[in-house]
Amino acid sequence: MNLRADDTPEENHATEAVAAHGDVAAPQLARPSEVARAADALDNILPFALRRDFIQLLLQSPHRLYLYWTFAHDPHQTLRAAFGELAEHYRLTVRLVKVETGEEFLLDAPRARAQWFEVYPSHVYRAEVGFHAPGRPFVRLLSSNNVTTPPNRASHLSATEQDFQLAADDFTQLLAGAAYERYARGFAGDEREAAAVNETIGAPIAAAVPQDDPARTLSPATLDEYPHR
Amino acid sequence: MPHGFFSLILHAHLPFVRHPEHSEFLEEDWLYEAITEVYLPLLRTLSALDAEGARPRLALNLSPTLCEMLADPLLQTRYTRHLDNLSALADKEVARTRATARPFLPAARMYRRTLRATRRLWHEVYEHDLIGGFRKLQDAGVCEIMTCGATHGFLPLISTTEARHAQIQVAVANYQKHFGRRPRGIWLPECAYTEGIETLLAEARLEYFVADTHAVLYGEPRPRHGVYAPVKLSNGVAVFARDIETSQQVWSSLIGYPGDPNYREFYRDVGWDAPLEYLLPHLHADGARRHLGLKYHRVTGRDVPLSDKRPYRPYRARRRAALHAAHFVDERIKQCARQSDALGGHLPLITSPYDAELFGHWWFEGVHFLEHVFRELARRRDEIVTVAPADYLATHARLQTQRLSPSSWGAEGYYKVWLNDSNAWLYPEQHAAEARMTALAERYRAATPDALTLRALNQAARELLLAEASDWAFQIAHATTVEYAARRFNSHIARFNVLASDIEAGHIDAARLAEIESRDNLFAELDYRVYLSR
Repeated sequence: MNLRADDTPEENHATEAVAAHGDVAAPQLARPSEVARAADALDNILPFALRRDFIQLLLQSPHRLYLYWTFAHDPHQTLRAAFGELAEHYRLTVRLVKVETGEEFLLDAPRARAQWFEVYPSHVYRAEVGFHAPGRPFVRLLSSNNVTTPPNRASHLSATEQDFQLAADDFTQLLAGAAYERYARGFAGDEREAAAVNETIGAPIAAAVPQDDPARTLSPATLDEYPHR
Repeated sequence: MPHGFFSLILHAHLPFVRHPEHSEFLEEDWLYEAITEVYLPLLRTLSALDAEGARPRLALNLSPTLCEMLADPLLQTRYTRHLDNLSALADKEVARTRATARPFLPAARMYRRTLRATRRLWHEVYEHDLIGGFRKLQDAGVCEIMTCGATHGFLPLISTTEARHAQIQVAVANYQKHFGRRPRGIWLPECAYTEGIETLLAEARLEYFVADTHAVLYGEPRPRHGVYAPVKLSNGVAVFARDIETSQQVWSSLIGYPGDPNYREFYRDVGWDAPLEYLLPHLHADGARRHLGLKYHRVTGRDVPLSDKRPYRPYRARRRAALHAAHFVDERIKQCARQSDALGGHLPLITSPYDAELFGHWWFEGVHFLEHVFRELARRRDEIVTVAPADYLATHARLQTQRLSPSSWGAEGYYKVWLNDSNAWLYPEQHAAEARMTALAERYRAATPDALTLRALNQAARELLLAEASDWAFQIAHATTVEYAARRFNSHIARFNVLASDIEAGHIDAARLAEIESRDNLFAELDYRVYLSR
């Protein structure tokens, strides 16, 4: 809704107040022109469809990754054209790969074209989307960037520069003295804790997380939820 | 002999909110409230401290979007209107409380007095030019002004190196426009770091940035001095990590100073308490109630419901702020003394970064607190030395080299606030626009665009930058102004895409371009070539 300067009492009040100072221009007010209306309408015409083959793996935390992808064309059509009847055996699949070891985890690709993964800290992950059929090679369509999950504990490495070397115990003491005890969990020199952490790092990921709220793309339905001013 | 160093860093940022297509707009109040409660009081306080010889010293980040809004003539004019409206209400309130609500009269008088002083500062002292005020403080050695991402884009969630580079380069160019020099430091938006950002910072000749605690504590190798000294990355860019103890003393809902029962209660506002008829001349044309900024109650107690809050006593609250300031400085000196033993004689540096808008807006007495902190620091300067980050670097103290851990200062310390089920839908569109912008720039790498195409390219870049603002994802995640945030993101993506399509088609709708330029008019100096492939 566009308002005119003389529509309301407070506008009159404001105009008087501005005039009283004399050194400022009057507020620039809305011009309900054709172009302005067109610009408003433009904001209501979404989405501009994404038409590209793209995949992106994003870090949320040391324990969680987010993957989304888009296709320029329906991959099933391509598959049918290439494989004919054999295409029926293939399912569109997401593959998460732990890069250091090559271990992988497969799951059916959700229609939402997005997937959360629970993972482990201090590892490198990559994701792929492609067609999978039991006993046949994975047909990779999209391959993501690598993501290194951050550590969730302090480093077991002390500096090589002599001035900055510090024994693990002394570092623990430093953290405790600074009320930073929580940062000392399972870190350097605490071999038992480190071992316990390492034991849990076996599978490439902890889980693929079903989405309560599927990844949303811009669509008329999405926009309906956000009524315009 | 001092026990250590103390560095206060204030991060002042608001998203670019400017709606010339509406004669009044609720979300523009964010800027107006911050000018009244934070920026003008800070300018006044720091200038006064400097004039009386207290030698305050701090680092202050003024984000590029905030600078552009502060320098915008339309928003300056609208702020004048806002201030006049609020002053008129404050005058009425003195009469009303004197007649019918005497327990609230001291607060009403305080508002009237403060707003009169604010009007004088706005019109006569700073003549609407707050950027100029801050620039003078920097030139006088009171503050070191840092830059930020151009639109506060959350760098780790920006998909291309070119788009990250643009956030930084546009910010640096904007800083030079406003402050007449190059910035030395940058506040990474949301303190969000991921490996590789330091390369872009070094290219922009930025010397340091601020990171969250665990960026350094979980960095590799482990930091010899904890967070009590900056570290440097392999390319020499320095990193100052946030001290937890000082953060908690101010931010914690349990032990933080702002929870003191004497301080002003933020959530109880005359805009919701007074009769609608009485307020109508001071509301927008839609007559909807909203926060107006005059608040008459004190915190009273942690679990006291809003309806049972007691009247606010301004003088008592200010005395409390002075006591808290003395306590804060005393604790810093003790903290330094305690740590310098553990650090083998190294003088600790305590880095205390905060949102500037905490002081004065959320915590009404916050600017008084800062005033007394600086007075106390001046009084005890033999025990603790106040520095800005670049001052510390100028001591040429040797810095440990580290690889930082990815991190942010958001909840849980990583990227969850800006990437979760509520806002993950933003990224496919944003990332597509980032790739498309570089493709557009590449089309004109060798050929010079005509004047209209040049404008369209630059405006497309502005729209992309605006879409990338971390504020939209934040607001959606916190369910605060979801509708507005989603709409803003969608608008900028839509405007970007229509401009991109025009450029690609070789036919630009000049009238539509002009309309979009008039709405999103920031960064006049922007050059789309910051998006060229690297």
